[in-house]
Order: sequence, then C-alpha cells, then structure tokens
Amino acid sequence: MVRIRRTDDLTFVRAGIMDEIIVNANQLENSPDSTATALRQTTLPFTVDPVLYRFQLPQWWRNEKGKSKRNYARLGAAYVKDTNIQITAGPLVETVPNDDEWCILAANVLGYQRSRLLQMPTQLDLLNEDHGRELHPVRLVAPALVAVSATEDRINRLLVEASAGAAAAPIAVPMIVPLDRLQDARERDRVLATVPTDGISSYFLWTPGVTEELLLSDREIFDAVLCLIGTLADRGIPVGHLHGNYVIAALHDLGVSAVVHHLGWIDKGEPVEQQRGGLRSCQTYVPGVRHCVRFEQANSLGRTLDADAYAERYCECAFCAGSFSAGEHPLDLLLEDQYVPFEDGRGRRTPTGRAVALNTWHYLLSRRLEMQAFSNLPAVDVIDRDMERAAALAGSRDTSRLRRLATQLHSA
Amino acid sequence: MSSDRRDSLLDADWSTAWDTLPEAPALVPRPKTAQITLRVPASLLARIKTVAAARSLPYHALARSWLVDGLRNVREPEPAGVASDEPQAEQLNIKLDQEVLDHLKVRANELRRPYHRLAREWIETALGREEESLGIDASPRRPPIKDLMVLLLHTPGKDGTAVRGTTRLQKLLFVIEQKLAAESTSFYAFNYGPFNEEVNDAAHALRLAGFLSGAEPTGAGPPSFAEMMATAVERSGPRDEVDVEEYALNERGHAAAERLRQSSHAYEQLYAYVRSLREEWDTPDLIDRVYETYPKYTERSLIRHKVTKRLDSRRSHDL
Repeated sequence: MVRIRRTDDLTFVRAGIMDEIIVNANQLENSPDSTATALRQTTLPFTVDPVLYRFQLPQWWRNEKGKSKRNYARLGAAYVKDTNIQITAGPLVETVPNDDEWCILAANVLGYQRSRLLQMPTQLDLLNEDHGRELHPVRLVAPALVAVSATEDRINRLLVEASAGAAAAPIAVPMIVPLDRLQDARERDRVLATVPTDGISSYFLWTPGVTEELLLSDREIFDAVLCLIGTLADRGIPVGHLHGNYVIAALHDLGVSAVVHHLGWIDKGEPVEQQRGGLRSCQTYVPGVRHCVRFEQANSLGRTLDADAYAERYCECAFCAGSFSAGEHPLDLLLEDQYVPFEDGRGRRTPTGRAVALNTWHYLLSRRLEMQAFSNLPAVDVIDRDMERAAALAGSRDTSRLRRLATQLHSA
Repeated sequence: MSSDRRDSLLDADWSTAWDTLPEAPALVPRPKTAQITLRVPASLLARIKTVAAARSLPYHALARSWLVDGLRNVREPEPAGVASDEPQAEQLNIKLDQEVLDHLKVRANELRRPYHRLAREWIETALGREEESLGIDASPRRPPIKDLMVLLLHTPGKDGTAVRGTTRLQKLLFVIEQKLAAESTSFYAFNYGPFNEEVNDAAHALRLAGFLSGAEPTGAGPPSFAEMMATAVERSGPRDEVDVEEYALNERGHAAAERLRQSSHAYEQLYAYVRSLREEWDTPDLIDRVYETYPKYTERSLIRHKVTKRLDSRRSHDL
C-alpha cells in the first residue's frame, strides 16, 4: 500500500506496482481535484488516512511561521462541524471539552472519509466519457492520537468505539505508539489493553521515530515492535504497519499482513509532524543492499556493472532493465544532480527534478518486488538470498546488517 | 416498559385493531419486475449521489424510497423554482414493483402530468428536504475553477489559446471570478497578488486527466519505461533554466471543453463571457491592471512597490 503525502506523488499512482493507495487527509484538502482525478483514473482501492494526530500539538500542523496552513484549517473545520471545538486553537486534548464532542468528532471524521471525494465531480468531469468510478474508500479508518499517555489511551478508545458506531461496519484502527512507551513493557501493555477488538477489521501499527537502523541495532526495540504485532495478531485481526520498510515487511511471517509506505526512500523513522520542504539529499535506494546510500557510493557500487550483473546484484526493477534496453546505464539517470547556490554564498548538490522522478519509480518498483518476495517465501529465505546478493555487491558491511535481521527473526 | 404495562398490552383484545393494520410486507422481498428510466440533469444526479453517500445508502435505492414516499403521502410535489436550462443528460434507472409503477401512473393521470415528470419532481422535492436536513448547500455557486480554466484555455488569445505562466493563469482566472461572483471568491492576497491554490490543483488535475499539452491519460497497468521517462522529461535537468510553464489544452482537452460549452445554454453563455474577458484582459500589462483594479488583493504582494512604481511612471508619461 502506498501513501500519498503530496500532490507530486499523484503522478506515480499506478495499478500493478501497488495494491492500494492511502491518501493523507491533509493532502486531500491540499489538492482535492487532482487527488480525485488520479484516483478515478485507476482501479486501485483507496483509503483516506484522517491524520487526526496532526492536530494533537500545534507544532505538528502549523507552518514554520507558526500559522495554520489553509489545508489544515479546512480539514479541521470539517472535523469539528456541529461542535464547539476550536481545533486549531491549541493542543487537541485541551480544545475538546467533553466526551460527547469527541464522539461527534469521530463521526465527522468518518463522514469526511466517506463523502469528501464524492463532492468533487464538476460538470466537466460528469461529461467526460472516461469519468470512471465513484470514489468510495475501501475501508474507514478510526481517528487516533499518538498514545503519549493514559489520557490519549482513553480518548483513543472512545474514538474507536464512536467510529465503530458511526461506521456501522468494521473499521481500521491505527495504533500510534511513541518510542518511550514502546520501550517500557508495562506501558506497552497499557496501550494494548485500551485497544478494543469489537467492530474492528484491522489494526495499523506505527511507532514514530523508529528508523530501520534503530530496529536493527537495538534488540529491545525490535522485540517491543514484535511484541505489539504478535499481541494484536493473536486477536485474530489482521495487522498492518502504517509506515513500513524492508525490516517491517520481513515480519510478514510473524503477523504483519499489510505494509504502507510512502514515496520517499530516505528513512527518517517517520516523525509525527508535518514534514517541511527543502533541498533533497543526494541519496538513492539500492535494492542490492536494501537501504539507500549516497550518490557517490551508489555510483561506485553499480556504475561499472553491465546489464546482467546489475540485475543480479544491484537492481532488477523494470525501470533499470528498461534503461539498459534503451541503451543507457540506469545510474546515469538516477544519480543526476546539480549544484544549488544559496544567497549566503554557500551551496550544495541536490538531485535534479528528473532524477527525483526516476528514483521514485525505481524505489516503488523495488519495494514492490520486496513485498512480493516476503509474501511468497519464508522471510528467512528471502533474507538469506538478499545476504548473498549484498555480499556480491558491497561486501561484509551490508551483509552483517541483514544477518542481524535474520538472527533476530530466527530467535523471535 | 414496565412489566404491568407489558401485561396490560398482552391482555388487551386487539382483534378490532388488527383488521385496520396495513398489510405486512412480504418476508422475502419480491424481485422488482418493473423499471422506470428518468432523464435527469447531471447536476441533479450528482446531488442525489452526494445525499446517498452522506446517508450511506445506494443512490438508486434512495431515489426509489423517495418515489414510494411521494406515492404514499398522496401529496403533489412542490413547484420547482426557476426552470433550469441544463439538459437532462443523465439517466436514472429505478427498479420498482409493477404495483408501484401502476400506482404512479394512476396518480400521474389524476394530477394530469406525465408519470416520468411526476416521479422526477417527487425525487427533486425529497432531495431538497434531505439536503436541508443534512446541511448540504445545493444552491447554485460559481462554476468550479477547473471548468472555468478549461473554458479559458479553449478561447482564442492573441497568440493562440495557450496561457504562458502560472501567474498569468492565476490572474486571468481571478478576473473571471471577480466578474462572475466576486462575493464568493476563493482568491486571497498572497505573495504576487491574488492567488488561489485551487487554480494549481485544477491545472494538475487537467494534466493528470491528459487534457493539457504534453500530458497523456494515466495507463491502467504498470508503467512502461517510456511512461516513466515521460514523467522525468517534464521536470528540470541540471542545466535547464526554469521554464515559464505554458498551459494549453491538447486535442482531448479541446474536445472536453467543447462538450462542456455545448452542455447547456448557461455554459454557452459562460464561454462567450470568458472569451470576451480574455479579449479584454489577456494583455501584456495584465499584472499592472489587476494591481490597479483590485488593490485589496495586493496587500501582501512582494512586488507591490515595483508595480506601483511602474504604474506611476506610466501615469506621469500619459500626462
């Protein structure tokens, strides 16, 4: 499942390289027309992530000037319809006066997911022969807060129960556990105890700030994530991950049945707050080692490889193969950068616009192959194969990284 | 209910009341053997779908329930407001029991109206009530920015139909919206004068739909290498200067614009009006004229002083 976080992501929405789309509600408010158009042009099922947690703290949704962006203001207004909540006035738990208002808020969030995209067609759309399908989300997602403390746990339970009532059908429930509570076994149990089972079609876990490197280097955190997944999966309800990566996909055999990832290939551990723009860093995803590396390193790993060796060791995605067929080495396209001077006289290198687009395809296609591999084969077999490949491409450093994962999975 | 109350109800003789009760519906719903096909304007169908979505019901079933409700309540539909000239371009097929259809025909005959019209009017009346109860605003609003943009790019400018640059596109649509419905404008003062993010969104939507020059509609399956490369070509490379974006409809886009123009008399008129506004406003000094005519929208502009200086110099030159 691929997450749409910005308008530019819509260009990459294609059936056959993803199973489902999950659109952030703030993005939907930012460009509703183009989002609706992109969704209508595919047969892919979609879900709207209500991102209610963004309203939890002002610094999570306000811009660098401290102002509410227009899309958040519109989204907030839709969520608090018929309530006295001043959603953009401050931290959410302080602006919702009572439980009744939380319940109305939950019902509004569900109503938003159901109907926001149905309001979109204009006369032009209706007259278009290729107008396509009506846009109904494949599942409804309960609004959730980051489970910072028992206060949020109680509200989350209330939101899930109110959502299940308003949906009149099983709903998906996000469970957002911050690092400090993830590491504390008693706190983990407390969070789990507040997540209901009735009226729920699936759980979606997310542990903000937990990077892939952290999962691999800190056994305690890895075990804590496994514990959450295992406990939820034992309830007989499918468990997904809202911001997954290779390591999370490798937990398929241990209970992760769906992985959502966005189109950015640099692992930042997915923080909760709205990400700001800025110059991109010169990094590319290297499927041969299952993580991203800087352009110079990628160049030294793969530029000298011919088509067969490249497919065997570096990447076998359709973009890279197509590039060789067209007579170009894929890394000449993927690693294109430019120097951008700043006003203060300094500057730095950044990927060109077209390199960003091509890296996005390459990343999407590579992730797709990884997900398919973990769905079709036991995770340990996939990792064994990947270790051999990483050794052939880059030697021991990346092999040991994957070996750590294999060891953790074996002992899990 | 208290147990005393329940006992008294159970003990009562209901035989007389029983005879007056309406016949119970069949336990297994009978298949609906008849159908009525209504021609309706596209906007009406869209409104029905919106209400159905808000009620979480299939729209056919909802329309059927309104029709049956109209029959049951034995009341005439409320008179329609100003007659719309929108063509009845859409079809609404409602499956019914034969009895209901017969009943509708009888009722229409009594009211001396064609039964299709009566059914449509009942549906419209019920729709209005539902919209009111749900708080859905169905009042006619300004045309959507995307529709205005397509009409604008379909009109001839001085150098063809294309509009060069996002700023010019923003300003032209701003002027059109001001002339059409200034009170409900969605433009606001921003860094370079009046701005509306809906314009950028609509342009992106038209590109994704394959209506703009250089754009193709998205394919159904996985992208080919050529398609992936096409997404890169439209972006900048290392030595490219930042190009001024050009907005022009391709053949598909013009065909869609023409369909829109011909879809109703109102859109014909709108197209003619947009065309006249483009003739009047799409001039090299568009920005200056917008700043001069709509100063409220330039309050946050980063180039206000520059434009004001230019305007002052032009005025003194004219004197």
